[in-house]
Amino acid sequence: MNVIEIKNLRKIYNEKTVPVNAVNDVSLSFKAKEFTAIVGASGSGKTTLLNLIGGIDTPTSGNVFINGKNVSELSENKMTQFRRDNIGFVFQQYNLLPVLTAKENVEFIMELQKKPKEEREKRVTVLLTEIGLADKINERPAKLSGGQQQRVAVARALAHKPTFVIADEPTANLDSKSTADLLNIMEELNQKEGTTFIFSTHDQRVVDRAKRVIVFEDGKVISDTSK
Amino acid sequence: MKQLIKLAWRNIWRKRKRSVIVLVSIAFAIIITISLRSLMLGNGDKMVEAGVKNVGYIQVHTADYWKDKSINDLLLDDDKLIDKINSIEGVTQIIPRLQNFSLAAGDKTSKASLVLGIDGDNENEFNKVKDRIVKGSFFTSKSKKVVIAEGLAKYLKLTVGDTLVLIGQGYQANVAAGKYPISGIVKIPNPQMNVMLVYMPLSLAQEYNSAFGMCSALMLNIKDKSQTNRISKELKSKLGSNYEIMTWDEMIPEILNGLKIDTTVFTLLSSCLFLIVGFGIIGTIIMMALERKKEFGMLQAIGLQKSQIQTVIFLESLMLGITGIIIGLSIAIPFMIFMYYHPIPLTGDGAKSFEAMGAEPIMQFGIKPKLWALMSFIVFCIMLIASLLPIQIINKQKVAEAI
Repeated sequence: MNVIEIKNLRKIYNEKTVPVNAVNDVSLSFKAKEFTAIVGASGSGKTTLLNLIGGIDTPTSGNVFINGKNVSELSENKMTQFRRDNIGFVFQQYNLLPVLTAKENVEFIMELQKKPKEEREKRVTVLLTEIGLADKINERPAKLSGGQQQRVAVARALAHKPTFVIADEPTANLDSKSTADLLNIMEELNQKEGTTFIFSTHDQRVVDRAKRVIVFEDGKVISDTSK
Repeated sequence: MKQLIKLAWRNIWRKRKRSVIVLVSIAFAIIITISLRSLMLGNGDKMVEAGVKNVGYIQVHTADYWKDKSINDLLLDDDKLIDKINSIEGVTQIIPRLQNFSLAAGDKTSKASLVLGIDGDNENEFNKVKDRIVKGSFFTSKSKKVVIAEGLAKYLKLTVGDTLVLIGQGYQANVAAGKYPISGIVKIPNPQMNVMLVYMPLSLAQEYNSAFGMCSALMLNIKDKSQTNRISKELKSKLGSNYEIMTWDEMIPEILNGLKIDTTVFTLLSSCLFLIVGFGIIGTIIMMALERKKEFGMLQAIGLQKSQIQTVIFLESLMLGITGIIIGLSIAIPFMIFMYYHPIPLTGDGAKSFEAMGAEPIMQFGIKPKLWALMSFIVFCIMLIASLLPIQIINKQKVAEAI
């Protein structure tokens, strides 16, 4: 069953001046538990595509269906709520809340969802153990390395058990060891939790680990291969 | 909500120095405005108190007396009138006075003077007139002696034991004339009055003016000065149009005008201060919001509604404002209380100007809880206004552009 289905998706910037087709009539679908890399040069439209799939940008035309629901038609508030409950995000710059500890960052979305404290604590413990940071539970991001912060970001993205996780160049700021560690964790969690991962990358090491690779150029899909 | 409160509180302290500067600005604004206004109000109260000691909170005259202050427009000091006034709640004391202008003379010189017939004990209970004696003693109610002001005594070259000659026009064109031994000399703070005032027992003044059983004014003392207007209204309706009822601010409008000028000056000064502090705070909060645009975008992306992020910003302003106000008040209030009990004594010309108005020469701070609340409220409003701009930034923000 397709978790995500995008049909004739188009995003044009500067429509009234100098139009730029960031995403040009793209149709794709993603199944549950997929571990997909979207590859392409800078400016190819990868991030725009991820933003459209994740509902943080609106398409010029076309539709995004998540679990059969057309999210392109949702209002801003409903889309925000939909993201909170169904999508996990990992950003290139980690983007953890600097004033919260690792534990508080991971449980942040669950708290927004008003999940019971016991359930939150249990989940946080499991995830921080999985990512190997059980001993850093009460540390704030400033005390963690880049790799550690990105692992916490992955845990945060998965904490509320989303349908899928979108990661925009998650390894761009990491050294090779941290990249390898992060990929191991993401792969492991993809298997264990059954969560779909879609990430954009330039990094060949990441591409090598992906189960499906979509090559993007000038806003269009050039190739789509599954291993 | 608990989560948002926690986030807001921690956000305040992520740039500790900046938050401290905002808190110090708020506390500074509170301390300065409260101190300045407390001083103005404290001194204002002192002026009013000094003025009221001379004229009472309210005076009852016969209709149109105040305009000409004629000796022919007198009140009959009868029990019915006194009972009517006493029946009004809040009136604590009725002090009759009979005043007239006469020519006062010593051996070789004479001078126009104000002869004020008073009930010595009653008057003293209200304004401690006997404490102003610098030489000799005050007269008793049945005495035939007078007390004269220090300046007048000096001008007429008279002293205690000498005789003062008075001549003037009494009630209904009767000749008012007499020779009166001087029992004491008083110092009157107002320099103008100090060279013209003669105190005389009320009964003697009535005899001198041929105005038996009459007085020109009934001066009222009241329990609570904030009730002045209410009592004045009740008196007007109870006594009718044959009587003139005047409150202290109608009799000595210059004090009220002085207080109004003080209020205007304070409003201007405090507005400037609040503007400077306000712009500082608004600038800091906008900077704080612009620096965090990316963070706001991320929060929206992971599922925080715009309204929730705006709530965090609003709470940050609120917390900063309340903390600053608490710090400001916790310094300003003890300081005001200390200064209230330890006023600053004045010397030189400053002291003279206070004494001229009959007030003690001290810089008196007032304790005004309503003022504390008002200043805190203004600062609080500034903080709320400051939070509106970042709220607007979040409102217009697009997630994809922010992250």
